[in-house]
Amino acid sequence: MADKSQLLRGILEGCILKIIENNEIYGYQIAEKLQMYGFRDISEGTIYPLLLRLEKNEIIDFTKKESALGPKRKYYKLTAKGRDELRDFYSVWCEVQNGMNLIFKDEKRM
Amino acid sequence: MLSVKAMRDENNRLSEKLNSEYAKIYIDFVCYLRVSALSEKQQEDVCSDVLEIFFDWQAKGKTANEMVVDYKKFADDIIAAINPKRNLLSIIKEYAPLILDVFGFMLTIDFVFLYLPKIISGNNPSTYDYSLSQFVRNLLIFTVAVGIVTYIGKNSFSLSKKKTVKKTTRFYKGFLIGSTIMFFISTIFILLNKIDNIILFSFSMVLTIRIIIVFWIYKTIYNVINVYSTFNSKSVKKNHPSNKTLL
Repeated sequence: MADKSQLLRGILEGCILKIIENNEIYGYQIAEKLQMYGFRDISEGTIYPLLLRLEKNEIIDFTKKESALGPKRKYYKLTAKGRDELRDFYSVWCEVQNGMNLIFKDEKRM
Repeated sequence: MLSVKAMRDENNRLSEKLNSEYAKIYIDFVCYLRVSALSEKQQEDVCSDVLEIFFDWQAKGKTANEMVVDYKKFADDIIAAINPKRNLLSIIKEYAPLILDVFGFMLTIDFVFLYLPKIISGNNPSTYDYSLSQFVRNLLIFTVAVGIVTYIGKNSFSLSKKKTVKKTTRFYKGFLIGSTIMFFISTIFILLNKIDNIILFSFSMVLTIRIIIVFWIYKTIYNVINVYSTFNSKSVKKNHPSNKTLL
């Protein structure tokens, strides 16, 4: 029941949007930040399909900059639609979080 | 914006800098994409992104299997995220050059083997007759070729994994597959002979020769332009920073 991957699937996009919010950042950096925040199983391979979907839905945009390693690197940023999505996600997250905290607090008392 | 061909050339050039482990997976990945529903532009965009990812991992000393457990699932997730929409027009646009190429090649082969000997021996046929058997044969060749390429592409990740199979098992399996294929080919050729006299349409021989000449002139010019643009893009990229050898 405590399937972390199922829980992650629902919130990962929101986490990515928050990380991108104030930074122009590329995929590997996003994965590193997620790992730094405790999402240790998340690699760039996990988030790349999500970034593609966000790009397709015009929630994020990118600019390509030269890279010393190989192909031009994609640096992602939020679009106006992306900022709205992030705001909505955070609102839903707060609601869920409050509900969960109340359940665990109240049930613990009983 | 780069053309699809220029993107492909650039991706091919960059992929040569991958180490052997990543290069092998990249090749399987590209084969898998080539038989997916993604357009050529989408394929090259994804290849460029995946190369960027692989170079990052390679530079950090990570192994490919450490970063992704199932590369087929990774590819499927990417394709699902892009969710390509194909309509009839886009499918026709994609396959039309291939169909024209097959038609041009088969017309040339038919002319060289069926009609040229007659012309040389002085028995000048006035028309090129395209029979039902030729149509069925060409359709079968096209279908089998596309089927083989699609099978190899769809199974690129599993086919490249080493399997320990006994030599005798491999021999019997190969013999069975080979015999079955030969049986079907022989049966088809026998049946095709029966419909060889059903003519679908005829061209005048002069028109046929002109079509063949125009086709090969077009192919030659197309190949020369491709070689020239590839050579050009390699010269321009010669001093690019990404030409450093990666660790």
